[in-house]
Amino acid sequence: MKFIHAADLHLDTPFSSISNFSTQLQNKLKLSTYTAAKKVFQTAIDQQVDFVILAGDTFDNTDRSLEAQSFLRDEFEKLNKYGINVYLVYGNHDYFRNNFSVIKFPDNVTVFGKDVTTEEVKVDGLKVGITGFSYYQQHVNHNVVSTYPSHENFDYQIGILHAGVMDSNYAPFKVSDLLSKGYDYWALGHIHKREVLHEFPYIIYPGDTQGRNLNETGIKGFYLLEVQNGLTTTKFVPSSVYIWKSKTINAKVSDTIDSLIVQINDLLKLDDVLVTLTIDNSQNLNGDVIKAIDRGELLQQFKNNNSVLYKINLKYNRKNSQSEVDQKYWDETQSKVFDLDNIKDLDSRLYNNEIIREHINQPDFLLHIQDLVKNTINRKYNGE
Amino acid sequence: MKLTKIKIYGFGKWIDQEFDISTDYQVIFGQNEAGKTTLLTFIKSILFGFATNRGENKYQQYKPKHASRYGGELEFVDDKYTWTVIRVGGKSGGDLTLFRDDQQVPESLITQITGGFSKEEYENTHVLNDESIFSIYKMTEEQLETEIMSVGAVGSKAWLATADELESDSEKLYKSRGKKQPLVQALEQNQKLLQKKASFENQQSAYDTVNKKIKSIDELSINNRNDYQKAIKEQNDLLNLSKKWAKFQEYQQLIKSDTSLPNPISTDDWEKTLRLNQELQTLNSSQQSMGSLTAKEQSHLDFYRTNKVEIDEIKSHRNEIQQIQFEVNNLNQSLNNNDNRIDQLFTNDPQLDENMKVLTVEELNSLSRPTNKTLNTPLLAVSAAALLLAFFMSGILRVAAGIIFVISVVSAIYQQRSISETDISRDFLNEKGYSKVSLETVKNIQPRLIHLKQLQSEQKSLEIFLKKQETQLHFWNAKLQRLNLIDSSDDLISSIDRYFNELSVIKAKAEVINSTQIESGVSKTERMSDLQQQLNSVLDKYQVSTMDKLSALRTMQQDKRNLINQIKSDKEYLGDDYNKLLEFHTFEELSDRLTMLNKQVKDLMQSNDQMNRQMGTLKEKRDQIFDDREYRQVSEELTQNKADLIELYDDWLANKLASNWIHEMLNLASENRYPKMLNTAKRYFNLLTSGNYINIELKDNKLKLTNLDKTKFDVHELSKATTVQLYLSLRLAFIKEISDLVNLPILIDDAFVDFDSDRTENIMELVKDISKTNQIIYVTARLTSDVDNKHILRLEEDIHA
Repeated sequence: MKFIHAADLHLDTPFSSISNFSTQLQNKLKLSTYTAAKKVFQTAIDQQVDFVILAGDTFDNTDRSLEAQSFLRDEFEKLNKYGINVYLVYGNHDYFRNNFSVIKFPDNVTVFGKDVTTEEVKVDGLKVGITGFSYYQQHVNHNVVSTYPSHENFDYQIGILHAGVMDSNYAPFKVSDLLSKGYDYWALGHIHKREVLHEFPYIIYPGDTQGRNLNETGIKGFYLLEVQNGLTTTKFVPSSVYIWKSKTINAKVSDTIDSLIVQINDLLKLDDVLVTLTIDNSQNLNGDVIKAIDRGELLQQFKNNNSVLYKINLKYNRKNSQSEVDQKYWDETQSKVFDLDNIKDLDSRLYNNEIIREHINQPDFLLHIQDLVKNTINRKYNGE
Repeated sequence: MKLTKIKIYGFGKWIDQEFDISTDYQVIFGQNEAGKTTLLTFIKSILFGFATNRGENKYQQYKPKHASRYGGELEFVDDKYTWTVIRVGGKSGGDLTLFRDDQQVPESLITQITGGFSKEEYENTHVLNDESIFSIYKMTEEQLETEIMSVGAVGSKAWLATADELESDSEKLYKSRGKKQPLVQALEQNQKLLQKKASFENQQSAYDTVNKKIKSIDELSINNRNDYQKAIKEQNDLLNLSKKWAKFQEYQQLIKSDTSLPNPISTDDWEKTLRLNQELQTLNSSQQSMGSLTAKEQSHLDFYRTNKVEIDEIKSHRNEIQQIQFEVNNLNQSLNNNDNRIDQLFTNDPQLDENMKVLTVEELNSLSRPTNKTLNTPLLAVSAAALLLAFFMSGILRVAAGIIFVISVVSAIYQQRSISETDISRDFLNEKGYSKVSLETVKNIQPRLIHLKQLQSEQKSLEIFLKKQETQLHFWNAKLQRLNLIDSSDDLISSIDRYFNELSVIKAKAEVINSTQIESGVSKTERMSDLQQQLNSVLDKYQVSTMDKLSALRTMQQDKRNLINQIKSDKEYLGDDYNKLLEFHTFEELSDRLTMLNKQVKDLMQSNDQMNRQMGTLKEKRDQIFDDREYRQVSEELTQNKADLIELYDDWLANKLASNWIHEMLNLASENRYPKMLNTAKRYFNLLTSGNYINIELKDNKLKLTNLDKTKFDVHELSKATTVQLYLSLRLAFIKEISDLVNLPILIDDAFVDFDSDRTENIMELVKDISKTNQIIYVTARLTSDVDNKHILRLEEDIHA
């Protein structure tokens, strides 16, 4: 038995800060989530798999997904011709609402409902059970895993689950909860970073099929699973059209725009990579170089490469010669300055904006802003 | 760490010079331009590096013009070691070499001497010159107070300036009541985009709604089209009925007449009476002269006898022939009717063309894409009305209606053609004879086309049947021709009848002559009375008295038969329409109904057009919903806006928090250091003010100064000069406070030039006091008397070049 486990296709994801790129590159980026999805389905056909599991967030946004829906219908119909079934759940991005699925999928597609159910399918004489559920609201706060049945009368049982480990908004679970069900494979979705949570039985986050922003770095793809004599073997298959990477170069006092261009050129030698570049120790750079970078002259230089310089971060550090006489006072005041409630109270107009509020409430926000503040102080005090 | 020796290789005007420095305090005396400041810069440069060749710093480089070597040495001592710091010209700040006693050690150990200070920090804390004092004078009260309150941290002045810059940077990005700052604008754009996004209908439900509307209109449209077909059929039927009205009226009159045929004269009886009468007449005439057959009669009879078989066959088929003739007439009548109906179809639908073929279902389906082309309904309606008028009017009106009909039909066709030219070409349409008509017309025309094709096929079978009958008729006709039996009337039956009447008369005559010759014994009179008797019995049978009356009766009966035939033929002509015609009492009623139907047809056609248009709009809308480029645009803009918002917010917040952090740090440092610092500062302040002020206290984060009279002052209540003295006291107290972390010489460069001599003496007292914990190098152009000579280094003009 062979099957594919993919998740978080996020069809139709828009990309930000790409308007300076060539039209061709912009279009390729806009289509990249579709191109990656095609790779999933083509692999299913080439590898003659028995079924494909899509573990949620297939659509980035269900308000307007007709194009994505008709794309999927066409792809599913292709799979149908080869007798390949599809098992699909909706996740927190594409949670079922407003009867959004107006385009009918062919008969080979099973979409799981609000409650946990189990589908049975015969493959190679094996009785395979596939258990799962779909999101019908953006947040699922209870432990849905507890309502999954324990291993039933199947030769091989798979659990599909769109959730985060101990994440109270997204069907919180612990790996031990999953193991206690006695399933043979857990097809997870939701987390965009690829991760194998457990082996034998496998519990896998395949990650998304195409990186969607500078934080989703590395090669993205999906898993091809093969079951022989009850033994499951896994194979990761890359599908990303563009790969996001973050790279660092170390600035020296002697660096100029030209010497930086040479160094960046070396980094961009790979094809189809979107690079976020950190120039460390920027305090060493000449003020004119900094001004040129701030004007976007470096970005401009690489905008038509096969690989793209997406963004440049200047990282400033303390000068070695800076005294530590007052370090303890910096340290002692840090917690007062970086108090989340104080930050929220700084300006009500800003906090009332949903995007900013959401940003502030991200778990790693304080660490992020601390880095930024230190960078700002270092830049201001040492760099300018 | 005390500076004990200065050794210059080459720095500014100094070349190959060596100075010993006192470890407590060293006064360096010299006139202006004696190189005092250069000496101090030399100390800073060897410790922290030469100034780089950039910006204002390059005036601090002091590269010697006449010496080959740039740099020099400083010697320090602490409790354990003697440190030698050597710096010579080189890349970025020069090349540093460090010796601990005689051992060279890594240059990073320089922090053992500098306490980790940067040049800026050293200048900000340990270096006092007229510039730093003047800057204090220039400050506003508020700035001064902040400055004083943050003296408790290293480089507080520079930090405060940095904090101010950060604050102003943050305000360039955002102000809570601002309008033009980028973050404010991004917020506004966010609101606009969200509103724009909300104004889009939900795509799915919109798609669903449109689909439902399309379906309901489709149903309505099908019903409408059915109604239209029905109306068109009824219209045709009524037109047909109106044509039959005349016949109908005739028929109704005819069936009122008496068609009873009591006691009809049988053919046998008729022939018998004819024969008897003939014989009687012959006998009668032969009473005068025994007659004989005339030559004509004889040849007639001879001809009959010669061709007896054939002629008798004709006689025996007489009724059959009559039937055939009747059929032929009927068929012609039917053909005529059909022709009329076909004409009617063409008249009703000018676009109908003989060459058009009925489309298959697939072909029809392939056409079901909406087009905007429609028939010119009003024009067609005019033509239909005109046609009707032409039918039912008379005289000038009829002619006028006819003209209108022709004009309207022609212009409708012309318009239709010009519209159709823009049509998408579909090959099969041309093949099937639909060139130059719109798709809509092609679809609408189908039912009528089917009707036409039915009529035409009916026509064909009628024609075949007619031909068959005519062939038979020809056969008989030829036979009669050959036998020369056809008389001038050209009518077969009457010719046959006349021939056999004549024949029976001649036969009777011949029989009489024959019987007279054969039965010569029987008297003529007997024979005649016998004949008369026979004749009378027949006449009696038909209740007439004379042969003439019987003839009249027969003629009457014949007429009645003709009448019956007429009725029969009328009935056949009217057919099923008869019952329909019966529904109308007058022709007006029928024509009213027709007018009403015309209107109905027109209305139905209009609503059909309207629905087609609606359908087109809806399908276009459905395509638009699917296409959603506009929404995508908004969605992309929102994604960008979100990224911008977060980046701007982070920038704003980072600046804001950085500024906050600096203030917090400075406050905390001051809070921690002030209590101890105040004890020292109190002494310094007392000294500098010649004992005028006796106390400094910190209350609620504010300094309170007490003078000799125990009067307390706030900082802003002091004179400027006193404030500067307070500031100096605090600065120096701070240096003492951090001396366990950083113990570098304090450099004072003519900082007190504006002080009067009393105060300058106070300063010297202060210098001596401080030098108990910190080494002081005091550069001045004025000497006071109470300084020990061994602490004075006099720089002479001639010492250096």
